[in-house]
Amino acid sequence: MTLLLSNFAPPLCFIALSVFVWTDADRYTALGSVFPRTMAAAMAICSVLILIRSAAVLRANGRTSSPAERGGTESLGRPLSLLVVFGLWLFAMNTIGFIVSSAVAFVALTLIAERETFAPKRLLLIMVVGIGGIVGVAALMSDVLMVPLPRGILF
Amino acid sequence: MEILGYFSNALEPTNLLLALFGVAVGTLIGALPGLSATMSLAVLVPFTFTMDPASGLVMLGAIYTGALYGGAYAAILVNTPGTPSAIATTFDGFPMAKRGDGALAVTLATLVSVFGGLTGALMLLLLAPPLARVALQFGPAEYFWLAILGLTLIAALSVGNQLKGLVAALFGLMLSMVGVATVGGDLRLTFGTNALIGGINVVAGLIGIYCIPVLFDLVRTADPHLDPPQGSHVAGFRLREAFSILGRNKFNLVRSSVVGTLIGILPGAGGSIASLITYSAAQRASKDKDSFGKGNPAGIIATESANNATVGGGFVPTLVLGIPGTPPDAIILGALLVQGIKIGPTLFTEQAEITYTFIAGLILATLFMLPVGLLIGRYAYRSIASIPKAALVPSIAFLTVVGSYSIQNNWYDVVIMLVLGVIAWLIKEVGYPTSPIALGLVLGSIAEQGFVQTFLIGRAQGDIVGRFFQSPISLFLVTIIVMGLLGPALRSLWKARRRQRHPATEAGRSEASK
Amino acid sequence: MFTRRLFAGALALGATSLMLAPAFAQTSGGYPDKPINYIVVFNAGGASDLAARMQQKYFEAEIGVGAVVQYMPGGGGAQGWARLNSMEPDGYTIMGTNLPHNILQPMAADVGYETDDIATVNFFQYTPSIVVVPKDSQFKTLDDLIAYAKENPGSLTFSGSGSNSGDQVMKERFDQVAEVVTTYIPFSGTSPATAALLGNQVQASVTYTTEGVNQGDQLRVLAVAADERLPALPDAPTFKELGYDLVGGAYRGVAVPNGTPEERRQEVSGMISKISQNAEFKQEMEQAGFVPVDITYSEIPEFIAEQTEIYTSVAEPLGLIDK
Repeated sequence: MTLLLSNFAPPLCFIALSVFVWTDADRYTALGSVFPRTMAAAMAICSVLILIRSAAVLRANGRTSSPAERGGTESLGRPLSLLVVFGLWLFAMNTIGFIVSSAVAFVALTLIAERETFAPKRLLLIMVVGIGGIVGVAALMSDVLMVPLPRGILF
Repeated sequence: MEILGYFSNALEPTNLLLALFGVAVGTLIGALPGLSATMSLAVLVPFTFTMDPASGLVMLGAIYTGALYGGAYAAILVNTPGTPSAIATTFDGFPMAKRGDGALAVTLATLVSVFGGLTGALMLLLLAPPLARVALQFGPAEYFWLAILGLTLIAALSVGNQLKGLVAALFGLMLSMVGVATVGGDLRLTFGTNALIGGINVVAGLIGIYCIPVLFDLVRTADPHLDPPQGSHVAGFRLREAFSILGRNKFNLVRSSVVGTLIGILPGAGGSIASLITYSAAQRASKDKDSFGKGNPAGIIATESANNATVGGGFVPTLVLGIPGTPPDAIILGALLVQGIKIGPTLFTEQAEITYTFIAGLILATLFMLPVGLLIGRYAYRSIASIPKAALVPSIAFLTVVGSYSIQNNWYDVVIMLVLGVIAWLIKEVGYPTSPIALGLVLGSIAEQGFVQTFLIGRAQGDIVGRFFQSPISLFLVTIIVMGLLGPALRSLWKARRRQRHPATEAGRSEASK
Repeated sequence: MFTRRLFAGALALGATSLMLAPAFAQTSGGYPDKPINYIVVFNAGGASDLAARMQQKYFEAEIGVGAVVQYMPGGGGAQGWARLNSMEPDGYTIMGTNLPHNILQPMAADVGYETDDIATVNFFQYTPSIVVVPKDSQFKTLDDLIAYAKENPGSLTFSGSGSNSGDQVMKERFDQVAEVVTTYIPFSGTSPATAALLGNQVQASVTYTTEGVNQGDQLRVLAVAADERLPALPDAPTFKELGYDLVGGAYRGVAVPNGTPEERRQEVSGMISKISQNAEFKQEMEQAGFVPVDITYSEIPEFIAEQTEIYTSVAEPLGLIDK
């Protein structure tokens, strides 16, 4: 089932995208629509070819070619939690401030990425150095490079 | 021999120090994804108001050249290009670092960056006015074909899966259309949000496409980031080995440096296109094509010499015509204009002192990359290899956020960076290559503007098709494109026939080449 | 092992930022007591950037604090202007503005801001438009160009910066007053448009006086869309001299986020005026091809209303209004 999904879902998504771009180009001036239309048509054609090829392979082998298999120790849990932390971080940046949200995210990401046996001392060290680095970079940005970092209720 | 006199100007202690300072700062800035040469130059411009014009220029030029070189570090060691011109360096640089040849890769990148930088600077010194005339021969049609030539590289990037590579490139091209269209002025694909009016920032997009999948892969598996084999093999500069590799790649090195300079003189093209085109040229010229993308040093030689060569090249139109070759050139041009310096051919005669001192300073700065680069490189690889994931992941994540934010001080750029990164990861997961997306994003606007402008000019003159194929440069580019596209097909046909005839020898050969 | 190195790195970073921070903070109490963030919404090296850099040079001497020029390019400036009002309204963030851009862009499409959203407090310079050809062009005078355009309708090509831009409006107005039909080719900025002209990819270009001055004798300026000849281009005739009623160009000013208090707006306007009155600054601006002006805060509403009327009357018949 996942094999079917990974082989047929992407081309279908790309076809949907090209249909969207093609119809959106109705609003454009003649000059602005040439390029999007050409790209959309090319994408649709290529995607259909990919679909046909996958179907042919499926019929011939009884199974489709799949992306390289990975080692057994992997999990989707960590990437997903990384994504969640990242998303929350971006939103928190504007409400609670850049430095605090980055520091919290740094700690969270350290815990997500930690693989080896749990060593509180080492983790603590990483976090302290990391947060120090964040404050340093933030100071560098806002005081030296004059980059206005997002401000929130805290820093 | 006046030129030698200007060299002694550049050798003044202040200028020497400024060049050294510039290279060191530039290298660090380039090595951090998102901190760009453009940003740091803009910050430093006011300091040059009080300086002697030539000294100010020497410093700015040194930062610029250092930053383009520094981009190689992140590309090789972390698989994330520090600057857009280092995209193609990731293709072979990271595989080399992964298998334990990181120090060698960094040394190679240093040596060829110096060589490329010197080539560009010498061509600027000796050939600037005639080269500027070449740059002017590049009109919309030529830019269009140049962009298409760059796009044919996807064929090389997606071996065995050209259709998927093509779809990914088309996706990248669509991303490049987002926002207000230069030609026509339409608001395209913005989904009604103001965040997308300015389009997808190329640098933010690249950070997302390259860094986010790296982060996902880092947390997903337990394997260490880099996997250097234990033993003495890893340590040191590996200079001797690097020189012997360079010896085998001398044509590649010279070709990439010269092509890099030539692409550098084209306003708007820049280091990313130069390195992509020389990479594909190196691959096509190589006997061992399949090893590209798997850690072939020839790839790094091509990209890193080319992107540093664009520095000297980019100053050609900037100084001779007053038309900046790249965004950093534009800032340096602005600094010159504020100082009241008249741009144009007279810069090489009436104001020769400033110009030649600057070029001499640029050459010195390029030479300084050697000690600075080897010193940093010696520690960078070992440090990155020894940092545990628990520290590496949050650090890279923080840099992606700061980097994408600070390009335009725009929070939306960070969101776009993350969204594109997640899309790139998903696309990668289902077996599509992601580098063509980056390629499409970088080349899209050049291709589109070139196409529509050529069309408009052709229509005004009543010869649309002719306009596309009229000039010798267009025809030359079209020839290379056609050869590049048909070449692999013909070659595989030839290979297949050979294999039919001598199955045994062919098997033996492929075995040996591993 | 790595931790020691990390520590050292973080310490070094912190120390650098601490060392550098005081260099920027010269506290004295009243406004302004820290550097002004001056945002340019176009790429570096353009006319907006050049003007800002010239002002920047005099900030320290006239105002007592420095200015930091930052770039927020994108969408022909629209990206930056759309975000102006979400920035801190404390007078330390100022942004370059541009008429007619601020009038034409919201008129042509929904670009995320309206003309009224941009609180410009001072217009400090005016850059007239010019029509230029390469120095070796067959067109020696404006009349040559117009004669050619009349004989070959539609075939004369003009390069300019962007679609729906000041350059395009100027080209359309030129077509109207000269009663010709020509083709406009949009480029991604003034520099690429000039490069296309120098390379003979197009036959003429609509650009600004600054570009005519920068390029020196590589270009021939056929006419200047100003009331009088410019000191920087003494040999270039005005359209009026040649019998065409065509005056136009770009007014560049400085805006603050619209939450900025009245008093602070006055102060910012005064600050810009003070720099504009510096004789050396004036001279440098004129040499670069700018016309220094000083339209202060109280005069702004009337000025913008007047310009809006001019451009609305021009843009409507051209079909640029899309809402």
